Amino acid sequence: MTQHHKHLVSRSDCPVDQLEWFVNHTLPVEEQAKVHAHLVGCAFCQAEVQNWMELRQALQTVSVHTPAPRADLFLQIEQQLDLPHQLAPWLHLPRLLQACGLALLVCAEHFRAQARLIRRELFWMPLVIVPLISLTVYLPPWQHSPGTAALLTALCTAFGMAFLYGREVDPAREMTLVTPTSPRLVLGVRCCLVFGYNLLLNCGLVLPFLAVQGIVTPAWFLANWLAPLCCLSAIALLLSILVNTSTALVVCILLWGLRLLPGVQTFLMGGPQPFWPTPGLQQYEHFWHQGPLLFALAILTMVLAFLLLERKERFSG
Amino acid sequence: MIQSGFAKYICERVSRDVYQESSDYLLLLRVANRDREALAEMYARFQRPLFRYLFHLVGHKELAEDLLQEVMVIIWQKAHTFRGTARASGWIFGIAHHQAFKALRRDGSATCLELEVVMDLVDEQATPEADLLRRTTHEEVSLALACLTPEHREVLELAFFQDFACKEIAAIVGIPVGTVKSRLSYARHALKAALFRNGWET
Repeated sequence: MTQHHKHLVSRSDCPVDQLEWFVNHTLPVEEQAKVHAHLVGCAFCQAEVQNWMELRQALQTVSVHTPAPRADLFLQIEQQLDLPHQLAPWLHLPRLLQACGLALLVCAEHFRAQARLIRRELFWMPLVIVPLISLTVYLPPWQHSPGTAALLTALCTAFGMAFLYGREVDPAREMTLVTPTSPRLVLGVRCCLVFGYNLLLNCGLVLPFLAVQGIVTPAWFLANWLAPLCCLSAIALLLSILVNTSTALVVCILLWGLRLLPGVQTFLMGGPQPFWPTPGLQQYEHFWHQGPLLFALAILTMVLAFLLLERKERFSG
Repeated sequence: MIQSGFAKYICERVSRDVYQESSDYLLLLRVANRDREALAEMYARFQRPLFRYLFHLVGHKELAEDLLQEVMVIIWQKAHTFRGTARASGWIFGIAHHQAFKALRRDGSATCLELEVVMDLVDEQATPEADLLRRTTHEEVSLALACLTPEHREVLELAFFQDFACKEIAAIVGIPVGTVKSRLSYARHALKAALFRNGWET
């Protein structure tokens, strides 16, 4: 036990926790007077005050020897005042919202401009074709089988994607090439427009109609309708960039023709018997029902298409 | 005689403090109104105490100067937020505390005495504290101060260099009044321990 602690036990009425504040003169006036009065008759507190005073004195000598800041510091401070005020993160919110609004405005302007430049056929043809295709599920050979409707709407969307890019199909291409707008941005906006429009037609016009009839379910739609549609559209876009639109169309027709073959056979033969032997057709059809794989393939193909686009534009002059 | 002298001293101190405080407050109001001359005046008034506080906390002249610069810029930017519920100097030192500890956290290389070492040394050394402090040089005290943690250096600095009251220190540092008292008591013992550890006796 220290001397200080012994004292605390014996003299609990001493203002020991006020002595340091008595020394630096920050006690309220009444407290200061009380402590002063106490000190007259208490040797221990006098010693404590003496210790605190010596400590204060020692620290004051250190204070005297502390270096001064450099003379031109205030000039630097004044220069700092003229710099733009750094706001707290939460105060950036209005600016962030403003930037988002501006970005949205620019996006909307791009969409509006590209919607006017894209061929009109890409909008009105699906509007007629897609609902007509959905009616195939009520025709005798494909009755209550939405697979054929899914195949045809995917083909229709892929055709639209194949007509997005190319010297011969894009009247606005030259215009986009002389502006600072990136070809990727132009194509991205067009993809969103055409693919989004077709998807909207599929989801808005066809699916509710088929769902009400109990023909399709959401899970079936994702795996057997949307995934092949995305994959075939991506392939069509890639081929139209790599080669040309015609090649993209031919490849899409071939790919989907193979899938449609059993249905055509059934229609022509009037029964499930195959017209000619097709050994790998089942595996091929099975591939187009693997939803996750098709989505992954679609994403990879789209990325590849966008990567190759810049290269193609650079060397096509 | 002693009593009347003490009363006179108290009256003088109170009137001086009130004048100083109202003057600081008015100066801060002018700074809030974008008065650069007021800021220059404030800098002239606070540069020494602020720099001393920052220098003793961070231990590097250049860093203390950078921090002083930051503090003055913040005062310029935030002066309008001062509501006058506390002393202007306390508000300014609160900003300095915040900036200094932000810099110390970034640096993270502070050296200090461990608690056990301090307590052992205090009990072992019987030399009267007042005598010890009276006979030390300012270099020895500076060296001993450098061995304390920034938190303990800070309360010593605010209590005995800047003469802030206990409640004001609590507000500046953002800790309870009881913690200020215990930190100050510990800092006193730690300083003594550091003096002995640095070979003062020999």
